[in-house]
Amino acid sequence: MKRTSSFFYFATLAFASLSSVASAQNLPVSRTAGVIDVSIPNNQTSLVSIPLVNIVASGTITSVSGSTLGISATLTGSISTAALPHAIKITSRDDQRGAGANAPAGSSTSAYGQTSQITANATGAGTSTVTTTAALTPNVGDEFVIFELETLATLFGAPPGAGWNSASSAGSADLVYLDNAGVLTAYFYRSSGAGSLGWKLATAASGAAVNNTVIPPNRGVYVQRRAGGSAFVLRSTGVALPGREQASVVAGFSIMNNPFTVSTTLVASGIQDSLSKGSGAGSSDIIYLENAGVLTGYFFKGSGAGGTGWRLTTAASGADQGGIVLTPGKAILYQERQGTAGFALPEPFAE
Amino acid sequence: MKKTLLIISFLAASFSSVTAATLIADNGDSGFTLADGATALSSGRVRFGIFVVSDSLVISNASNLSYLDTNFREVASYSGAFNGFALPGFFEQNLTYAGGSTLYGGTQYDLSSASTSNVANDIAGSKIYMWALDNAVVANATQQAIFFDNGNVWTDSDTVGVQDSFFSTAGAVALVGSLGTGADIGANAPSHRLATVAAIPEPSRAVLGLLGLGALFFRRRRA
Repeated sequence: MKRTSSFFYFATLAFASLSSVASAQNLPVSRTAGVIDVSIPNNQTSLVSIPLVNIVASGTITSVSGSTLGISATLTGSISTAALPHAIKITSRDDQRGAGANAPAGSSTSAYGQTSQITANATGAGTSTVTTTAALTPNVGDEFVIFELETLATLFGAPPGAGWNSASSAGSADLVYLDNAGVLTAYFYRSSGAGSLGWKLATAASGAAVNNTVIPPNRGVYVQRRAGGSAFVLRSTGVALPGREQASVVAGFSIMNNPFTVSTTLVASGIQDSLSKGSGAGSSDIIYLENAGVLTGYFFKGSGAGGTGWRLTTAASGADQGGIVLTPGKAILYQERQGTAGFALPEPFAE
Repeated sequence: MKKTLLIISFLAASFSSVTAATLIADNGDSGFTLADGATALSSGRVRFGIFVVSDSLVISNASNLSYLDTNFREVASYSGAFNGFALPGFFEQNLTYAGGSTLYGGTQYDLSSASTSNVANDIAGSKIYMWALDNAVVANATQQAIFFDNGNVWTDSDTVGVQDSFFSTAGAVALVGSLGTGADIGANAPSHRLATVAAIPEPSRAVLGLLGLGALFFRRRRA
């Protein structure tokens, strides 16, 4: 997902189309493929999501052993290199038993929507496995997809393309924030000055380059662009990930990816089902949406005078905000504040 | 009575709010040299904060370290060797400071609680000034530079998700000292130079001098 030459663009499109056809063979319909340009204007803050990915394998889970999953697809090489990381997403739940009061007897686990980065894999027909960072809990027979993850270098370029503000110091360069344990961590591209160049932690300009820093699964990026430069466009190509996004979060801030290619509204999104809902912003989880560089906070009012529904954090008794649009290409800054930590983004119009 | 207690309780809660933040600062674009423009600044002090007097007063009082010190609100500082990037003359610091309602020399960091509005008379939203000295003790310094960052301000404590402040000499404006006029000391660019602190007479010597002048004047009149 980065903009380079037109040759690269068309080559990517061609590859995406081919892999889409190949991986769609087990599906009743083709996956949604396409191109989405995500603009990141200079001199403002942007919440950026990665709406399209390159799916390299799909199939069903054949075994579960801790964090190692047997898969029906045949892997032929390493898919966990630093420069080209991958993740696995569970896209269905084969055995529905044990879920909810009306479920039939028996038990099964639900990993539907869970995603984790792949740290190791085995290859071969009938012997392919993947080992993940976090132990997912699928059932044998659940469907999965394996897709490429982005790094700072693959997403923005190393060096970044025209328009981007690279500099000797984080104080004058564009900043890319990733969330890490509830805290936002800044990176910048160091293009001059004493010491080595490349993507650096803002707090370690003299440190080693971290070009291969992974944008974790389920996550987008928070970009703070300086006044110089010009609008920077990320061209996202590939296919849309199927199924809901079921993300692990902790107290604090998380930059949630919006992986969907169609707009939906807050009220239709279903996000509220995974949030803590209080009578006011102070007792609720909060999501922030970015529009033209301005972050606006919303919470789902679940009790108290004035009814229930989505509200501005600044106006608990104000008008319902359920009609606010979640735009493709825009990430969601989520603040886990109350209750059980969790965040789920159901697939629009599919669940 | 109950209402009064509630208000006091609210005020106490508001003013006890302290947000930890980090100032990320370096001079990796150029490095510092002394006034000769060739010798790298090997040790000293960099202070970060704001001046509560105008830039023109800072410039006109550049030789009066006591005046500058009195009117400086230090939020964070570093003293020691300047060897960032493994080169003399450079610093690279991540300095933790308290935001929110914390007072710095009587000036509150952020007066707009629960809002990112930039209000007057606080530090948040103000330009970040860097005061570099060739000695850890202000009064003992013989060379100094005062720059402000033209692209960054002290971050408001209520900025969503991000509290860090950034300082870069790459986008700085010099009030004292000069930018990019020294030798290249490793950044592949000219260094920033400190300026010599002009000597000002001590008060007792100044009084003695005045008395001497008065005596001379008196003697000439009598003659």
